Amino acid sequence: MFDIWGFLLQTLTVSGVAALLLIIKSLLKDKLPPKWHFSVWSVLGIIILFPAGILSRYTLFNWQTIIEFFKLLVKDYSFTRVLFPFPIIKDVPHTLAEWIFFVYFAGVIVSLFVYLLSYIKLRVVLSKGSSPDIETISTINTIGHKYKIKPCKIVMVANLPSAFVCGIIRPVLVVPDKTPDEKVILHELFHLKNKDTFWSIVICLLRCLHWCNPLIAYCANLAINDMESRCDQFVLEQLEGEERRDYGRILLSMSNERFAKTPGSTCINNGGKNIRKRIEAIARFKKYPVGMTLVSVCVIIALSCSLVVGVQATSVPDNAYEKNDLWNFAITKSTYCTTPAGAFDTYGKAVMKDSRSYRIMCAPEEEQAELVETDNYHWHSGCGGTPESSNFYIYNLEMPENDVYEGLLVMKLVNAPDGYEWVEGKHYLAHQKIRAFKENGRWVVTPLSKFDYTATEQTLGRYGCADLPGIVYTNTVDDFKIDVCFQTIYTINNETPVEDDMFGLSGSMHRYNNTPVPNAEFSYAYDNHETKLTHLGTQEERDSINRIGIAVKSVHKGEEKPDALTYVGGKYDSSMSTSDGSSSAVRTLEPGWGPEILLSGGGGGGGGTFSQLLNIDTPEYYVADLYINNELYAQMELHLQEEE
Amino acid sequence: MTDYNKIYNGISKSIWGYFFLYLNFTINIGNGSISLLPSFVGYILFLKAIDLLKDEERELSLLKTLGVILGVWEGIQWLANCVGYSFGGKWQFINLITGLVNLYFHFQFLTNLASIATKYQQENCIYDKDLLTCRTVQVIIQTLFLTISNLNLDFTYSAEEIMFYVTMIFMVVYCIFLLGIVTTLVQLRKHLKNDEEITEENSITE
Repeated sequence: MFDIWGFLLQTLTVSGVAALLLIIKSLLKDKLPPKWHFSVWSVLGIIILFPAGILSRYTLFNWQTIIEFFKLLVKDYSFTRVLFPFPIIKDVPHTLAEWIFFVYFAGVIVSLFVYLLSYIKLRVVLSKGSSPDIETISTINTIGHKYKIKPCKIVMVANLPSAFVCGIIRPVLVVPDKTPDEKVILHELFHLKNKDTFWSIVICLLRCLHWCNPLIAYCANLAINDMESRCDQFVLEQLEGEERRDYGRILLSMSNERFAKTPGSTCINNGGKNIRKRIEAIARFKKYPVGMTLVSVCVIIALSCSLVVGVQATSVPDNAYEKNDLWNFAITKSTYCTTPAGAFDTYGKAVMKDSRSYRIMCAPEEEQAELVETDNYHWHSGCGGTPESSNFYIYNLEMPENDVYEGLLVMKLVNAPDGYEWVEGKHYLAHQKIRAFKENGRWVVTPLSKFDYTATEQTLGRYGCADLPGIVYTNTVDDFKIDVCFQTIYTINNETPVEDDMFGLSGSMHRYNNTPVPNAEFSYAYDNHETKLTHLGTQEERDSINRIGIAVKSVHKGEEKPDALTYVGGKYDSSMSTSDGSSSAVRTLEPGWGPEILLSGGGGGGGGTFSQLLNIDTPEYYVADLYINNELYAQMELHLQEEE
Repeated sequence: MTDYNKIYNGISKSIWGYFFLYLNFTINIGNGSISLLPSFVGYILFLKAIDLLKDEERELSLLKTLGVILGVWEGIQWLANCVGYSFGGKWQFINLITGLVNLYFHFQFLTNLASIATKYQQENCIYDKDLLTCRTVQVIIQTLFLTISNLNLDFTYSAEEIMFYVTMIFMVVYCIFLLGIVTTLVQLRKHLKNDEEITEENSITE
């Protein structure tokens, strides 16, 4: 926790779990043994030590939304993230929020100091103690032997209200000068057996972390009381009839709580109110059957797994894109992107809908203020056309460094973009280079260029489009320039099944999911290459060529250059991939052709996990065999085109 | 004197309770779906069974509040489904509370039924042990289901497929043991009827 918002997120999360535990405990009161009622607090302990909101997961409620809402109100546009469950001061406080955090931090230190002081005071009292008489030692040893509990060092201190255990590593059983009742000794020996002095310190430390949260203070008191009730239960199980009532009477006679809340110690008398509750429990005492352990463990497992793992914030309301109020911004901001594909998906849909809310989900921190404070109803992506509500693609995805991905966002437009005229039979594509990177634990997207447009006769699909930019490999032999354009195409499947008819009999239909999926993964990845020949000579020279063929193959890093390529010639025009991974094409030409001609294409790909999909690596170079008029004309290597 | 009729009725209600709780026939109307064997009826039957059996097992009366909570929650869900609203995984707070209460309720309920079986079964019968075995398996599988359903993990396609098959296996095991519970209860009920007839015959003879 580096700021007050982090602490608020942590303490709200912890409070939610505390409230849940209190409800469950009250529902299962008298139904599960005191041992369970004490053990179940371990769930709260884990939640206190577990950073809230980590990996975009929340416990019970998305508390981050509330935090982000208040931050937006005070114009703080940073993103709250808890890395450690304890406070760390990084700098001298300047703002009000930093001062409040400093006060909280000081409170933690002061409460730790107060507990430490009370422990030291207790140790000072113990240092004045003496060794008890032989009779007392013998009584305690007999009780320990009877119940198979190894007693520890015993110290006698005058004017003590009752016995207690103190210390973790070398615990001491402290007894008053008047030999205490056997049942009280038994109670304390059970504390010793269960290492309750250690648990009392843990409870104290966790309480200090949330010293200003009254609910946690209440739960800490309750946990201490449950610890005592657990020992009461142990004692009562050993006693019969009148002895049990005696034990209640002993508790009733104790009202002095001098050392009740000292960490590292256990004291049978933990305050008047608590003793009353314990006496009530004694009145309801029953022995729990052995099988209860199973259901007790099952309840704790189900509870702790669900609460610790939490729920991932993966969806925003369907109409979030059109709402521009702070609460909506808080919802979208707290549903942040956890994967690069999720960030691309959110950005793509923000462009599609011109939505500020969606853009806030995936915008870097430096852009947040402008996005929230602008008077414009919509966010303007800069796209000069209207994108179609259908799958968009990320072309040429690459990872220039760790946790950074760059690619070309390609979307189909429903109209001709600004400056273009609509031509029937053409498709208009908008594309923009974008970068996804990790910032403060969330994936965000920033555009690297303005939108550019391409009019193409090809259909935009997951298999590539020759008119879109790619990585170009080139070589020229005489008047023949060969270019191979290599593309990778990534896409996220946004088809969502919908039940269309009344009885669900006609099967499911699909619709395009317009809502961002912040944890999306790429569903498909393909690579594609298109081979283009450009004749640099005259038309007269071109007219002398009536047939051109080519065989092309990629060579990746570490691969050997192939000796020969399979060329499928023949009488008829064809374009095909061969079993050796090369692609081959042949074209018959009419006089007047050129100077450019698209020869062959090919590629592959499919679905898989993101790491598998990213294995589509860029070829090192291409090899090509060029056939002119059915004769092998040249064998060449095509290398990466140098950027202009 | 033992009121066999009361115990017989209590066990009958328990059997019907399980029938309503675990069998489900749904019809879709408009956006909503109506369950013809609503689970809340199951809990009403359990509550009636508790009333009838509480004299035999005092612990059973502790389950009344929990039964009411579960019944009300099931009723709310049933109504919501009728109007086309599904709670799904949206209400984790309530889902978790009811899930845990449900876990304890059935565990304790079966423990108490097993205890009643111990009292009334013949020496060569092991209805109590059968019920306890089924109870143990049931609570373990219920815990697994509850944990998995509340985890909300994003599985990859292959992991999702594995999870589907694992869940199916657990479902089958769960159904087998559920069938075991109902069968044992039916046998116990039959046994109680015989005992009642014998007691009646004896009293007539006397």
